[in-house]
Formats: sequence, C-alpha cells, structure tokens
Amino acid sequence: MSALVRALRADPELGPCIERWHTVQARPGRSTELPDALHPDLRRLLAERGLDELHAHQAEAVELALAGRDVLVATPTASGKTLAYTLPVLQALLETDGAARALWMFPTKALSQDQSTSLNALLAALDRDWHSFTYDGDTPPSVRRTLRDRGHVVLTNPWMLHQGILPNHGKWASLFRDLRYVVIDEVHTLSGVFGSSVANVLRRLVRLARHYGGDPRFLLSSATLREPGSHGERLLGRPVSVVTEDAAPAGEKVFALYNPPLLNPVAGMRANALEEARRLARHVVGPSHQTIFFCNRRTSVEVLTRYLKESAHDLGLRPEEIRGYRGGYLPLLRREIESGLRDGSVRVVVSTNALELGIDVGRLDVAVLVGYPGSQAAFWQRAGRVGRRGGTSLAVLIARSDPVDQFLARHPEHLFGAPRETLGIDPDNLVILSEQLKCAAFELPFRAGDDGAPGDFGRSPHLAGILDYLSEESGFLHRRSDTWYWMADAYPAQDVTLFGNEPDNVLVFDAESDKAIGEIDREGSITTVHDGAIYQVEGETWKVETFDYENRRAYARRVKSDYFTEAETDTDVRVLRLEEKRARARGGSDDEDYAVYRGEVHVTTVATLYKKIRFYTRESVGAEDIHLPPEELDTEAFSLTLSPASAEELGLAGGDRAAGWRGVGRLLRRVAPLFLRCQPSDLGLSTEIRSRHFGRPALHLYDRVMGGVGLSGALFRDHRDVLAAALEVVAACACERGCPGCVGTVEEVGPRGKATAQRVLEHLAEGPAPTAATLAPEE
Amino acid sequence: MAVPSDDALFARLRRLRREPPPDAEDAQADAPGEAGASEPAEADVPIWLRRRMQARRRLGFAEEVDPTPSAPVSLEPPARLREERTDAGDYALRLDERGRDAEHGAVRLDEVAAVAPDAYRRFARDGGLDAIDLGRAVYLDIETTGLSGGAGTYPFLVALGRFTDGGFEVWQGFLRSPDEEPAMLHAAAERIGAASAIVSFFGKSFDRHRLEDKMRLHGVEPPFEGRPHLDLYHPCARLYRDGFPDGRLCTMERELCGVRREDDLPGAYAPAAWFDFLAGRPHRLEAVFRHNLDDVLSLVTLAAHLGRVAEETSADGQALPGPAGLRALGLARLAADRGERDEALLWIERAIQRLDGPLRGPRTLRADLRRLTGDHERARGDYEALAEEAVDEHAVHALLQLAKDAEHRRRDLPAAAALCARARVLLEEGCTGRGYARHRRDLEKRAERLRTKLDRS
Repeated sequence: MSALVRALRADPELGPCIERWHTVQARPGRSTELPDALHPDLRRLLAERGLDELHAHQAEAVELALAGRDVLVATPTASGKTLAYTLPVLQALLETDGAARALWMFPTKALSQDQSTSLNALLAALDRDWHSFTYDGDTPPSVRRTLRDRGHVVLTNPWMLHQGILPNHGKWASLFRDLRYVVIDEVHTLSGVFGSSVANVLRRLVRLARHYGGDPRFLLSSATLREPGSHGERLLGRPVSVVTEDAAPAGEKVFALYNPPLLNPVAGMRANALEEARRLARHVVGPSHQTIFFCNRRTSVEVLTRYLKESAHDLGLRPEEIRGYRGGYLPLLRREIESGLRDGSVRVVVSTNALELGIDVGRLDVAVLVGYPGSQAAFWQRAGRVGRRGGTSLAVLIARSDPVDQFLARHPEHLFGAPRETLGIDPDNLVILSEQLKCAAFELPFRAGDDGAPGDFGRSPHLAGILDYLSEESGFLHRRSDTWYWMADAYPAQDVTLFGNEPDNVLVFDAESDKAIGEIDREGSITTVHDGAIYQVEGETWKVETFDYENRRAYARRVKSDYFTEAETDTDVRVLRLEEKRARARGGSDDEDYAVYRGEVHVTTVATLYKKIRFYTRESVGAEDIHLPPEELDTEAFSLTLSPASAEELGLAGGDRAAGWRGVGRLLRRVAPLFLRCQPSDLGLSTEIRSRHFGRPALHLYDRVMGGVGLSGALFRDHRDVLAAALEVVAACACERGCPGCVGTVEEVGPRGKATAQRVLEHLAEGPAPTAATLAPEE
Repeated sequence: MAVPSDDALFARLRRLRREPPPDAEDAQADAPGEAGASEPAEADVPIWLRRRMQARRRLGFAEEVDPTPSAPVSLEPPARLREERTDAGDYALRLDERGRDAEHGAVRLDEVAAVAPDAYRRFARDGGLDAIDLGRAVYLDIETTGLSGGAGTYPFLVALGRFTDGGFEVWQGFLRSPDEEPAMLHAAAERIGAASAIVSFFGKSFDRHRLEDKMRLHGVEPPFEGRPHLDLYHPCARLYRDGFPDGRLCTMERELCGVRREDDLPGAYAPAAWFDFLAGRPHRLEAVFRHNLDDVLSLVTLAAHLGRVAEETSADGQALPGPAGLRALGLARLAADRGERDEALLWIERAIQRLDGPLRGPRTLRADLRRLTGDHERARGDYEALAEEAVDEHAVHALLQLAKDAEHRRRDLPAAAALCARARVLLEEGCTGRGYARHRRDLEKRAERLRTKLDRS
C-alpha cells in the first residue's frame, strides 16, 4: 500500500492534481478489562471469541447501559458499536432468565438481516431457548405470531414500527411489558422530516411501553456527530450519555484530495469526476488489494463498473472480480457480493451509499469517493470502509465543480477536524406533530394532566390545542371531559408517512397505457410536469400532454426530444413573524450595517414560463407560458438584510447588479450543507434587492418543509461560518466571471455578478460578528 | 413561549395542514356544478371522511350509493340498558330472553341443541371440533368502529348468546363511553370463558382478534385459546359458494333459514351510529342493537342448518332448504379432502344427478374418486368422455390420467406417448394461469420419461 501511495504521488499526470495529502498516524488503541458487572456467561462468550478485554469506549458504553442510562455511541464505522449495544441486551436476558425483551431498529432492511444473523449466533452460543427475529414487510404472516410470542429480540425498521407494531400493540403486549432496551442504529440518518417523524414514533413507543408497565432504556449508535448529545436528546426527549472516543486500534490512513484538472479556466470547468475515477483506477486498482468506489448516483455506478470491467485485463484482474453494488439489486446478488468482498474473491466494488451503512464486508484497502457525498457523516462512513490493522490504507476524494467540493479540496481540515454539521430535526413541527398525534391517539387515548395538557408526548405547548383541533375541526378525535379518544373509522398510520407530504405527490402516467411512470413531490410538480414539459426518466424523454392539477396526475407521451425544458419561477416570501434578530453596526456609528433574522414566513411560488433548451449545446429554442396555481408554503426562514447605506457602498443596486445579490444567495445555499446536514434542494431561496418587508436588500433561505424542521435556526446560529465558506469559495475560484463551482454561470449572474458577490461577501464575512438585537415593532 | 389562543393555533394548523376552514368547504360543497351539490350529506361528515370520499372519487371509484337507512334516529340512549358496576369500572348491558323453542326465520332455536356432538367435525380442518355441544356454546357477534383493526378500533357492542335452563338469552355488552371498555371486556371474557365452545360467523378471522387485541391491551386474559370455535363462514362457503351471489351472513340466513329482516341497518352504519351517540347527535343505535341481536339468532339457526346437513349423509339431503345439488357437491369435496372416498362418491353421484350443465368439474372429481377406489374401468370411460367433449383444463387432466393408465396399467407405451402429445396440444389451446404451469410441468416430465422408456425398449 505504501508503494501504491508513493506511485500515485509520483505520477506526472495525476500526482499534481492531488491538492492535499493528509495522514492519520497508526494508533494502538486503548483497551480496558471487561466491566465487573458483566455476567459470567458473557465473559465466557467473549473469551471464546478471543476477547479478554474491550475497547475503552465499548466498556464505557456497556457500563453506562448497565447503570441504567440511555447511551449514544457516536464513533466511526467499524469501531465495535454493535458489541457495545449487544452486551447489555444479552445481560438483561441472562439476568431475567429470558423474560426481558429488546427491540432493535435499523434504517434499512438489509442491515437488520445482517445483524440478525450475527445476533442469532451469539444467542445460540448462550445455549438458551432464546431467539431474535426480523419483523419487516417480508415476514410471512404465518410466522408473525410465533415471533410476537417468542421473539426475545425483535429487529425491525421505523416504518414497520410505525404502521405495523404500534397500531396493533395489543398483539405485542408481552414485548411492551418486558421491553428493557430499544436499540437504534445509525441515528445520524434520523434528520429532517424523516428524523422528526421517527422521534414522534419513539414517543409513541415509550407511551405504549409505559401503558404496559415497561420502561425501556435506549441504546443509540451513530457516525461521528457535532453535538451528539443534543441530537440524542432531541430524538428521545431526555438526556443521553454520550460516548465519542474511538479507542479501537487503527492502521495508518492516508487521505488524498484530488481536484480534477481545469479544462477551461475562464469558465471554471474541471474534468469530469467519473472520468478521473477511471484514470485513478490505474493506480488504485490491482490484484494485491481491494478497492471500493463510491458514486452518488445509481447510473454512475453502472457506467463506472462497465468502464472498469472493460479494462480489467490492464488492471491485472478478471472482469468477475469487479462488481457493482446498489439498491435495486436482488438481495441474493447483494449477499453474494458482500461475501465475495469478505473472502477476497471480489477485488473491486463500485457502490452507491448502499454500502455506506454498517453492512459487514470486512475491511478494504482503498476507497475512492467520486464526489463529496454531501455530508461529513457520509464521508467518514465511506472512508471508514478501508483500514486494516497494522497496514496502510488510502481514501481519495475526487472533487467536482461544486462549491462544497471545491471548498473541501482546499480545506481538508474541515473534514478532519471536529464534526461541523448540525442535524436539522424538529419533532414538534406542527404538521408532523399533528399527524403523529393522530396515530398516537389511535393507539391510546390522551388524558389531560392538571395543566390541561397531556404529559406523555414531549413538551410542545400546543399539544392540547392540536388535540382539540383534531377533535373539533378534523373530527378524528372525540373529547370527553379530560380525555381525547380516537373516534373515526380509519387506520391513521396507513395515511401518515415518515417522509412528509406523499399524498400530495403527483403521479405521472403514460398517456397511452395509463401506467404510472414516475412520481414527483408537490413543490416540484409545477416546474417539471406542467403542460408541455419534457419529463425525463432513465434517459428517456416524455412530453407532458396534460397536468390534471386538481387530481394530482400528469399524462405524458414518449417522444424523441432534442430539447429539455427548464421552468422559471417567481418566489415571493412574506414575513409573518420574526422571532430573533442579530445585527452589526456600521463602523464607528450606531447605524445598522447588516442583520440576520429567524422567523416564520409564507412562501408563494408561481411557475411563470418554461424555456426549451437543446441538449448539449444548451441553445434556447423557444419559451412558453405556464398557467398553474401558485404553490403556498408556510415555513421557517433565515433572512439576511443589508442596510441601504452599506448596499450603496458595495455598489449593490438594481439592474444586473441585483444578479450579484442573487449570486450571494445562491452560493450561501450551496455551501450551507457544510454546516447543516441537508441537500441544497432542501433549502428554498428568495432574494430581493428591495424587500417589501424590510425596505432594503434581503435574502431568505427557508426550510422547504411545511412548518420547517430546524434548518433555519441552525443557519441563524452558524451564518458566520457559512458566509466565510462562501467567500472562500468565490475568492479562490479560478473562473473569470462566475461558474457552476461558485456563484453560478455568467448567464445566470451577469458579467459583474461574480465581482459584486465577492465584494458583498467580503464585507459581510470580515469584521465583527453581529450581536443579539431587539426586534423593532415595525419588523 | 406563550401558548397562542386556540383561534390562532387553529388558523395556523389549517394553513400548515392545507385544510380549509370548515365554512369554506361548506360553501364549496354548495357551489353549483360541484359534486358536493348532489350530496348534501357530505357537508355534515368530518373532514377525514370527506377527504376519503374525495380521494375515492379521484381514483375513479363509483360512490357506493347507500340508500338512506330507514331506521329511525333518536337522541335518547338505547332502551332497556342496565348499568353494571364492576371492580374494573362500569359498563352497560341489555338482556334479551326468549324461549328455547322460539323461531328465528323458519328454524326453531333449540334445533341446534339436538345436533349430535360429533356432527361438525366434517366441517373442520383441524381436530378441534370432534365433539362440540352447541347447547352449551356461546354465540358471538360484535359491532366495531372499523374493519381495519388496530388499537383505535372499539368493539362497542358485544353480543353473546347462550341457552339457559328455560330459554335462550342474548347478553349485549355496550360502551356508553370509550373508557367503559375494560369493564365490558372483563365481563365478556368471563361469559365466553364459561362456555364449552364458541360459534361465530367469520369470527375466527375478525371478532376473535378484535376482542383479543383489546383484552390484552387492558390486561384481560383472552378466553379463546384452546376453546373449540366453530366459524360458520367457512363451511357455508364450501357448501354453497357457487350458489349465492356472496357469502355474507344475511345471504345465508335468508336462503337457508328463511330469515327476513325488516328495516335492517346495514353493518357499515354501525360506527357512525356510535360516534353520533357519543357526540350527543341523533343516532341510530337502537337499530344497531337489533341488527346485532338478529346476527346472533342467525348464528344459532345457521348452526342448526349445518347440523342437519351433517346428519343427513346417509339420507337424502333434499329435504333441507338451499340448493341441494351444490350442497351435495360441497359435501363430496369435504369428504374427498378428508380421504373418505366412499362417502365422497355417494355425494358426487347425487350432485351430478341434481345439477344441470356440462358439470365437467364434478365429473372430473367423480372420475378421480372412481380411479382412487379401484374402479378403473368406469374411470377410464369418464376420462375418455371428458377428453372428447371440450378443450379445457379438465380435458388435459383426463388425458394425463389416461396416459398414466396406459403406461402403468395397460403397459402400452406408444399409446401413453400419444395421449401425452394430445394433452400438450390441448394445454396450449385451452389452459391459462396456474393450471397451465402445473400441467405443463407434469406433461413435460412424463413425456420425457416415456421417451426414455421407449428408447430403451
């Protein structure tokens, strides 16, 4: 491996593209004796597996769990988290002679199958009549009953818990009564609407367990996180003990940040990352080690796999030693590839994030990340796939022409330092909370406490009000003195998804066969399936004939189109209520320079027209109007305003300079994921050169989820970091007048856009941070 | 944070949940040209129901046009309710008593008590019904707030009928409020637990589970495990499935027991009746009580009917109401499933006599039974006729049997191969679906073996 690294460094073509090398030294690891309280049978079990000691962090987690605490272990992949939550569960079984029950929850089905196998091996070694079962959509009805009655450990996923187990808790009475532990793996995936919904599912779970007299403890595991404790607390609604030190021994790890060569410096265009991955394969693929490539898209996996198989011979491999891996492959095929990776018969695998989570494929030698995966946690999960004890491993990140990738190519310390991302999660989002309250009321009536509110569902001040709304207006519930009962002929969990507004999604049909060909969310529909839109699926083009807006259906016909369509929208952000403000004064005066706000907004988006743009040449071949009702969204926003005086000083005025202000907004949105776990598309953007509400330049970044899930609050707190990163990107970008890697192309921001944006960002990012300010009455 | 007034919160929830205020929707429903205009009732139903109806219309379901129920509405609680106070809380019940010899439809209730204990075993797949005394059984039927099950579904009315020394008594436990559920379920569990068996219609799949789940939820020991349970739905379906438009209780009781219900409130209205009662609106609970009572009485008479069917194996079953030919066919199938081939033959002969039409299915069954009882001569004749008359799955089956016969009994390999080839042609012309795949596998294997055998000789 060291030779491989040396050869890569010395390569005259590829070597210079590696902007940064970063080496993490080998580390011996720190072990501790087995905790005193550990049951003798478990000591024997561990000894049989050659474990006389535990890693220090495993021992710490086990001790905390045995002391009755809720624990979150936030350490990198393959640091032995599974053992840390398995031991307390087994201990509980031993102590209660098999009476205790545990529920394990995994974010994907494949993971629960994987874990079930290894857990059953441990249970078998204990030689009691104890069993673990996987309960998911594939569990045949005939065995469900046995499983409910005899499963000591039930492995499942959030969807099954939400729609299958909780609403039918009578069938699971013994599980809830004796529930000692709830284990949740990979909790860093629980953010946004999904995480906020799952937090409510956990409230429901605890409520039911209490009803049956159970009082489970939670054992959580996650990738390394910023503020893991607060994430755990938001998920569970109570404090958790956090273990973050990874005390497992590790070999030397070399990281390389590869920035593809600039093909067109004026336009800031770099070579394609997938192409570069293929060039790198010369060095990083070979018969003497195992390599994993991570792509961000399924199609890229297929393309790269084909490339590599075609050149297998030159790489010293047989084509069958190179495999693709992604969701959508049949389970059996996936199992075969996984075991091929473990036994070494597969030397190269090209994967999507499907191999990012904890499926056991053994430790590999080289990881190549084709593009930044969008979050630090995902980066470390992917890079964590490599590294054998006592050897060197290599992880290469290929940067794309994207602001975040470009920032990281120059600032690897952002990745290697302390975790920087905040997870956006808000279990008390009114939409999510009210939908989940429906499900919860179906499961058990709510009873008001002395203060008039139910005390068993978090601390939102609106609980009683929402329950009254669901009774008086929606008619789902019936209030009888101090109790709210479910009172409808319906099964709410069936209609409530964990991902948000799916019932509002638009289905796209083949107008000829009436078969569904796709689905699109509510917000996206007005710009992608309007009449005349070219709708693309897997490389095929369909022309939308009619969009039946009322009935959420679009009908399209397959055509050979040489153009695609791009819709333009007008977005209007109306400020409803501001909750918090910070402001900075202009140098040497009391006058305001710039201010940031956090508050509630109403967003109206109208699709105005669409352009027909030729593939490849991007030449515009016409435009048509769109006639559709506006999309309305009530959410939370982060707003930034610039005082008229500062705006004037910076040369920010109407006309094409307003495009510079738009460029600032666009760049902030693109770099926000450095500090916030989200996709840029999770954030809506509106920029105004003269805001109706503020009477000055304003930009709003809003949560594109009804009611918001905490993204704007995190932006408000961390906006200085976001500004600094944005400035850094635009200042270091090689392009002349804007490119996709910074503020946007010159067509989008105009000839002076980049310069204006840079000037504004310099002004905002430099100088003192704004301080808390009182909101003026007119604000 | 200050708690906003309900008005402000309600307005915000409406916006966020995209639910227009109630009056706006009413206005919309009244607007001319809207679907709502012809359905004034829709304005009174809760939002969730209205949405569901809209969604169904959107998906192209024709709206089920339920006739407005003729049952009267009332603001009073149901009559003759007796309040029970128990350690687990209060609930209400109504008792209905009548003589053992009372008639329901054309059947006397005590006819069922005269049925021999082993009569029902022929209807059961398991051995659980070898000896079941319906004179000491409990007859169970419940009304719930929904069919989907789950913890939020309330069994608000539970009827349990049983014979007493002097007559037949129906106990109807009722929830005047959702929180009376534990007390009522305790009492119901005790009553069920005191009986020697349970009789229901579709209760093994529905009523039992609704009660069991709710009992577990309230810490009441469910009384079902290990207690014989005769679910009348399945034997009725097996005997008569081709004779009636559906397999529902009201169809069976009408056709088999001569029961005519007047002003019956369809079961689908039961949830709304209870919701109305709880909310203090005019309700139709009285009709629900009667519907529920009638269901239990029908269980008794339907069980009596089945008892008579079972006891009439040697006599001619034509004296019973209901389609005698289909019943004979059903009994033949049941007997064949149990491996009682002589009895099955007896009934299939009767079925073929009584039924009209080409009867290819029944005749195939008869041919198979003749073959299995060693009457190869007549079986061969049957199969030949079946193979000649039509091109269908039965013809393929017949040819396959003839091929086996030729191969193993007549030892005529070329004839067997020819029959196989003919079967293969018919298969392609006359079969689809699962039958196709199964026959094709059989035929290919057989043809292959015959080829090998022929080559060797």
